[in-house]
Amino acid sequence: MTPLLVPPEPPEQREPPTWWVQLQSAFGSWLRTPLATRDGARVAPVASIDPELSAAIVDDGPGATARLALYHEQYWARLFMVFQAAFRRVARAVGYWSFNSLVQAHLAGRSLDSVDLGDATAHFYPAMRAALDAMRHSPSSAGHETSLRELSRVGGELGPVLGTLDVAWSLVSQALAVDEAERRAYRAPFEAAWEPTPPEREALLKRGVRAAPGFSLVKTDWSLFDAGGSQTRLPDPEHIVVHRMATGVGSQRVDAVLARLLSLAAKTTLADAMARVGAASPTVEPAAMAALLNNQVERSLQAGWWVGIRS
Amino acid sequence: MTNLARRLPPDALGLGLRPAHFSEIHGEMPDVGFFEIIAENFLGVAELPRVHLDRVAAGYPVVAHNISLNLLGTDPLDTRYLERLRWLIRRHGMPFATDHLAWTSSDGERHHDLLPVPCSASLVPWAAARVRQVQDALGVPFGIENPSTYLRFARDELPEWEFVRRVAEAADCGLLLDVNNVYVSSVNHGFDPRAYLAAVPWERVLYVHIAGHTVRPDGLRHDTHDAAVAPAVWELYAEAWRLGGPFPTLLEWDDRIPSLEVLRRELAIAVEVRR
Repeated sequence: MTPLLVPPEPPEQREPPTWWVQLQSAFGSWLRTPLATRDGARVAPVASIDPELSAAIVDDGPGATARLALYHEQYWARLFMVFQAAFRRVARAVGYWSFNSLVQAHLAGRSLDSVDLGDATAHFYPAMRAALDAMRHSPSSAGHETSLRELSRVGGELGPVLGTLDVAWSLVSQALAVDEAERRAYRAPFEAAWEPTPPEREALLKRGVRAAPGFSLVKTDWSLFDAGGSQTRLPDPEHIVVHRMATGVGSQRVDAVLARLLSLAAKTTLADAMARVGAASPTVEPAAMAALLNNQVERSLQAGWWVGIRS
Repeated sequence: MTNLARRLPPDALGLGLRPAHFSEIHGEMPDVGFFEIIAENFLGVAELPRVHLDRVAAGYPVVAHNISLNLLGTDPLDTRYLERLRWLIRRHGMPFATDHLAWTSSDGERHHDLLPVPCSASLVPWAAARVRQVQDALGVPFGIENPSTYLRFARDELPEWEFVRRVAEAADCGLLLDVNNVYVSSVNHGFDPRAYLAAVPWERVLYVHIAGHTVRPDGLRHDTHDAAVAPAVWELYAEAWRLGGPFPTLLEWDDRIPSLEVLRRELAIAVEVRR
């Protein structure tokens, strides 16, 4: 730093002025107040501005209220954008208006205390999962495309919003699963592909595999991976692996045999998983099935989906 | 990695590093003088952004810009975050770090927004003490940026440029002068942006920001970083260059992000404007 002609006085203030603490507290508290709805639009809840906060603002140009409102709307717009990016399929499925309502309901009373704005979305998945599962187990749940508003149990912070939506439960549920799989993969560390030694291969058969961090297998019968974003029913379900790659997040379709192997390998020994997958396909020659399964094991290892032996 | 600061050429032209451009940068190594990161985006749980930053920093100087140090806040400074930021700065030999003269959290709640500050002389010692603490913790020169503002306080006693100057002098820190923010605030509050520039202590300016903004229906200018630099801002930039140049210049573009080629064409305008 270039020396100044007159050295600055050393700053010694250890406490902020009391008026500044109070003003920030009132401002921040109002920012966190959910947006209101007026004429079909979300707007800052100007009626709830603390009179002392309002009096602290110069009332010129478009007015103190409009000036404060800009900050409020900006605060919520940023949060909506982060949630819409993290749960883009859910947002598309329920519509952005309803999705933002879910976000507001979710954040009500919840603390945002992380420097990383992405952490704001951390608890959305379990909250949505709990609400959706409660609805699925309701006695009124019927077919695959039963809409959320036809289901009766709508508890929790998100239930009241979900219970108004004319969207298939299965679409929202599956969109949530895929979005969360991608979110987990994005946040997961990368582990390079594992090349087991012969003794490790033996152990793998007797014990089981350890999946890579961020590895997920999702099943969907909605077109949730469509590049154009359409969400339509598929004629047959798809099995898709979502995983962390060295420089990004990847997804890959796998057939039903590999999907079953991947699913079982996470729960039992690899030998048992292979045996059970083989037994489920009695029409395939045992030798051909064994060759197929061995190929699938190699593919899973080379793809980096399995990175060790389960302890 | 090096621990030595990678200084910027005095007239360097840089871009904000955004994920949309990672692959293009890795593949084409475009002719960009330096990159600026939003440091908070590279210090979270996810290692992926750091993977990309490692590759970019191997080929370009990188500077650390922050949005949540909460310089004018009243909550304690986040020392854990400062430690991580210091680690990142050292890892990539960043020559300096910056943040806004704003507050971003209160009562333990992060607002993730640059909230306005009364330009009151009574806040200068508080701001300067916090800035000095940050600068000491980071171990590199630190600069404060003038934010765009949309309201004024009844407690304002000083013009913004005087408030910023007093804090910078009391903290003995640098400045990140955002020319777009000067313009946006000048329209929103009715002051002369050239008077602002005339009062800038140029010897403290580490680099300059330029960006696009939008005009709202209520007439307020909104610092949205989603458009090309406005002609009036280019005029102001030319004036800044005349008064304080040369200085490194950084183009911010954060929403509706165009291709790297479009951004580089925008930077090329800066070269023309300086003549």
